Amino acid sequence: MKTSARQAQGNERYRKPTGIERRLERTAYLFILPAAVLLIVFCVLPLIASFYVSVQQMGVDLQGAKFVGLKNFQKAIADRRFLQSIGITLRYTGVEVPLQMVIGVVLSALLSKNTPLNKLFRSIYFLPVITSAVTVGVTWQLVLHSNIGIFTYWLKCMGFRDVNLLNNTSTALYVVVFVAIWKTFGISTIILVSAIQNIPESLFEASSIDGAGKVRQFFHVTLPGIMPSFWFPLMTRIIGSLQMFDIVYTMTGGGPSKSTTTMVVYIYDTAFNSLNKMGYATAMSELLFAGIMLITVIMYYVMDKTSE
Amino acid sequence: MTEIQMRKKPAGVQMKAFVRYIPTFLLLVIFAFLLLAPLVWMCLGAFKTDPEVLSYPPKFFPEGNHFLENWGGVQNTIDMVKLGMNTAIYAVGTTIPAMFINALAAYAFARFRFRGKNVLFLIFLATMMIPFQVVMVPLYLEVYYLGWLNTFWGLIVPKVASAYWIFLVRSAFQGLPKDLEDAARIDGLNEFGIFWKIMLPLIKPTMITVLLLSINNCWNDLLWPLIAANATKMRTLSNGLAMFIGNRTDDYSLAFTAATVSMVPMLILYIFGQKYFVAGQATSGIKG
Repeated sequence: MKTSARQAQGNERYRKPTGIERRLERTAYLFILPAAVLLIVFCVLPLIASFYVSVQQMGVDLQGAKFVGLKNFQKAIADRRFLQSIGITLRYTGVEVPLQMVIGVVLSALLSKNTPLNKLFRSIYFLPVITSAVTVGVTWQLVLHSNIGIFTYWLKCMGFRDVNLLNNTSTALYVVVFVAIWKTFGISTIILVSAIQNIPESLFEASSIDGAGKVRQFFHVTLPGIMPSFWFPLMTRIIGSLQMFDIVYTMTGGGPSKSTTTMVVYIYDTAFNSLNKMGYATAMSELLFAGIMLITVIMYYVMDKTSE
Repeated sequence: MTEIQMRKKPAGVQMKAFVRYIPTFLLLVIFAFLLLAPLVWMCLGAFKTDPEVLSYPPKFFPEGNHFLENWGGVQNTIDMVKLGMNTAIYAVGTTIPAMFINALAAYAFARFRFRGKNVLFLIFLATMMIPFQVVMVPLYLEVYYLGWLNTFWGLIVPKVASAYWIFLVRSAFQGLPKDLEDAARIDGLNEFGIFWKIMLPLIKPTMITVLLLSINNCWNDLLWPLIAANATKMRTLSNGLAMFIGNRTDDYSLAFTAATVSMVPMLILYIFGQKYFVAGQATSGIKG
C-alpha cells in the first residue's frame, strides 16, 4: 500500500487511484470544503448576482425590483456626475501611481543595505501602512486644518498665503494624492528593497570595478534588476488607486463641491447614502470592474512583451 | 567582498564617504519627519485642552496633561470602549477561523494529489481579482436576506475565507519535506492529526504573519463595517470615528484623543510583530 502511494507521488500523470489514494483524495476535498463553500457563497455568488442586480431598477431590497435591461448602463454613460468621477479617479491615479513608484524606487535604492540606521528608517516609513485610513484621514484633516493645523501654520511661516488646501476645489484632490502616497509608499519601498537585495552582489562589484559611480550603478544595475518585481507593486497600486475610497471618505467626504468624488465614493453614495439606487450603483461598479480588468490585461501584455 | 570592507580605510576616505552620505541622510530624515510629525502632533493633541488646541500660533507640545478629561469627553460622546470591543470581536472573530479554514485548504493544495486540483486552485486565485466594490451591493443584499445585518455574523462570516491567505500559507507548506508526512502516517496518525500536530507547528512564522495581517486588515477596514454594521451599537472604531469626525468637527481635542486611542493597539502590534508585517508584504511582492 505504502509503496504504491509513493509511486503515485512521483508519477504526476493521472491513473486509476488505489485505495489509499482514494482515501487521501477524499480527505483533500474535505479539507478544501469549508474555504470553498465560503468563497462560493460570499465571493462567486455575489459576483454572479451583481450581473442580475445591475439590470434591475431597485431600492434597498429585491421587492419591487423591476427589470430594465441595459438602461442602468446607458444611464451611467450619460450621467455627468459619473463621468466626472471617472475623470477624477483617472487624474488621481495618474498622479499618485508614478509619484509613488518614483519615491519607492529612490528610497529603496538608498535603503537597500541592512544597516541599523536603514532598518530604523524602513520601520518608520512602514508605520502609516498599519495605521487605519480613518486615523490617517483624521490626522491629516487636523494637520491641514485652516485654523488649528500645524502644517498650515508652518506653510504660512514659509511664506504661503491663504493656506486652505482641503477646502479648495483645485487643491483638495492633490492633498488626497499626497496623503495616499504618505500612507502607502512604505509598502512599495519594502517590496523594492527586498528586490534589490535579491540582485547578485557580484553585479554591483563588477560595475564598480568597471568604474561606474553610484548614479550609473542605479540606472544600469539596480533598475534592470528590480524590473521583474517592479510590476507587482505597480499593478496593485494602479488597481488600488482606481478603487480609492477610505481616505477620501474620511478626509473630504468627496467634497468640496464633488471635486474629490472618486468612482467608488460615488458608487457608495448612490447605493448606501440617501439615494439607495442599488441597481444603478451595481451597474456602475460593473463598469469599474471592466475598466480594471482591461487595464490589468493591458499591463500583463506589456509586462510579457518587455520581459522577453 | 567582506575582506575589502573590513580592511581599515584611511581617515580621509572615511571622512569623504561620510560627507557624501549627508545628502542621502538629509533626504531620509525629511521623509521620516514628514511621516512622524503629523502622527506625533496628533498624539500630543490628545493631551491638550480645547483653548490650547485653538490658540494661535498652534503649539506643538502640550502644556499639561489633560488626557483623562479628553478621554472622558470622548467616552461620553461616542463610547469608544464599545467601539473598541466591537472592533476586537470583528478582528479576532474573523482571524481565528480564517487561520484555521484557509490553512486547511492551503495544506490540501500543497500536499495532496487529487482530481481537479489545478482548476480548483486557479478558481480560488481568480477570486482575488474580484474587487470588493463590485460585490458589495449583492453581498449587502445577501447578508440582508440572511437576517445578518448589524450582527457579528454578517460582519465576520463573509470575510473569513481568503484566497490571499491560502496562497501565502500554501507556499509555506510546499517547503516542508515529504518524509515527515510518511513517518507520521506510519506512526498511525490520521490525516488531520498530521496537519494539526506535525505540519502546522512547522510553519508558525507564516501563521503569525497571517494572524497579524488579518487582525490589522479587520481593525482598519472601513467599507464593509460601514455597509454591514451601521447601527450605533454595532459600529467599529473606523466606522464610528469616521461618523464622529463627519458630524462634529468643532470638538478638536476629542478628535485628537479618539484618533490617537484607536491607533494605539495597532501600534503595539507593529512594535512587537514588525518583522512579520514586513515579511507578509515582502513575500507577496516576490511571489507576485
